[in-house]
Amino acid sequence: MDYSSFGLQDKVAIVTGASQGIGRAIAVGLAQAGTHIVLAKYPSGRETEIQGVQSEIEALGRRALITRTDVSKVADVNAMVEQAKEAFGRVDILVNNAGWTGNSMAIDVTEEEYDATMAASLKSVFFACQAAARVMIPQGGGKIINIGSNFGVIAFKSRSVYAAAKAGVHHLSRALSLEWARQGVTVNVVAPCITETESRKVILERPGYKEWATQQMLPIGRWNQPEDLVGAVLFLSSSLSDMVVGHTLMVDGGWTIQ
Amino acid sequence: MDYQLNGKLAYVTAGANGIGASIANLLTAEGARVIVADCDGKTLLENGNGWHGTFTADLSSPQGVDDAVEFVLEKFGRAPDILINNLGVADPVPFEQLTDEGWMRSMNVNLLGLVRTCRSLLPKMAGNGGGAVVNIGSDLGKQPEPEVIDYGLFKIGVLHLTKSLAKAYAPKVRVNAVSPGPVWTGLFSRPGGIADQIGAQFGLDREGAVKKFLEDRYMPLGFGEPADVANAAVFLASPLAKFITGANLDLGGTLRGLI
Repeated sequence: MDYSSFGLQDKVAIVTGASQGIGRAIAVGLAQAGTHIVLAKYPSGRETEIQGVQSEIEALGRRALITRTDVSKVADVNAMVEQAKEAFGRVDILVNNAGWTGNSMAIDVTEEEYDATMAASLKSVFFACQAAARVMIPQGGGKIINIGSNFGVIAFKSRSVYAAAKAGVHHLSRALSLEWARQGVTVNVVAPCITETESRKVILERPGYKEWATQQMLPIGRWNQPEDLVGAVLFLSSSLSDMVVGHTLMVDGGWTIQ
Repeated sequence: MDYQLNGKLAYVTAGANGIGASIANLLTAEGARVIVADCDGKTLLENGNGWHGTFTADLSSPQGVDDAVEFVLEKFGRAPDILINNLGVADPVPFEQLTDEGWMRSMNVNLLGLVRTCRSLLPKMAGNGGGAVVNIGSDLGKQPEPEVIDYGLFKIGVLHLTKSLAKAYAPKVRVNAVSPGPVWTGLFSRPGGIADQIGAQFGLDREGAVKKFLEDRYMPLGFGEPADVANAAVFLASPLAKFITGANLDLGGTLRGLI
């Protein structure tokens, strides 16, 4: 796709969780709009995949830097932003996409599972926003887009902690906007429903799940694809959305209107 | 900007000026053919040069909506691909002075115009194979202000309708809403408008009245421009938002709080 008219030529964007699925689609979409990308991925695994994303972006004539980042560690997140600034001189856009959730019923959730879910899905977002804002405010502004979830708006069995973390992401984005909007940094949320990606495959292929979701839960009648989020992220990354502050934009095929 | 709307047919209600005109102009610039209806025939004539068609009608009346819809269907030869419902007027009247007639007038302008337009056009848009509707709401739907209770109430109704219609017409017609905070249009700036009313109430000049308005409401970005709303509305109407339905996009005002 040609997204060059969004006015994002030569901007610098960080995308976390960029080796697959939604993160990969957003990274490629931003590159198609002309930005250079910092691709953050978990320190282990998926080396071939992240290099594939890097090649794809470089083939578009954009620069792509890979960082090994465990987003649940504040030191890693700070290093990610530092590396971005060192390589490109600035950070215009941050997309906090990485996250993780356990899938136990609430009665069985352990302290480890709770902490890991919260650290990867909420703590990670706060400290990445903080690190980015410390660069964006002195440079005159920036756009932060956090990936939320329909489960941040409605409840879902076996996702109690994740749902709380995502609701936290939605509200956090309002609170941070309140502190930073005047200095040119807006924080908004794009909230998808379950998306057809490799990491969700095991859920999507459960017997009967697809019929239930597409027939009963999704008024639009089909799965969310990673590419479906790109338009919303580009809009919120661009000056077209300068007046949009602390908002959670549902990109969920109507799941939450039920 | 390329919103991928070249050749699309669009109908904008209450678009002679302000937000509606800004949306109509952006759709036109993106290659869509746009028909605008409004009660203000003189301003339609002044602003409507680039548009595909204009129609003067009182869209708060059933007859006005019917006439405008008939014009749109005839001029386009079919139902539009895009419908922008922008009709609405906030007319500050203290609660105790707002009569039954006032309430009914407000309902006709702020809710029923949209209901009647959607009732006529949505089945036809779905019959065409699909389309997109964008309803213009308001942050006052979520954040009450005593001077415009009626307006806020009907605007939260617009959000409910948005979700209901999204569900009713999915997957063929996507229905979404944009809820702007204060936008610097005639509603505020006209003589006797909101800026002047605040000025009179608190004994301030216009600049002071605007400053007080923004400070009282904790609006970090100040007033929006009609173009801010136009970009949001046209984005939601475009294929870039093809997985978005039943959603609302807040502009500027949301930080004030939510009900």
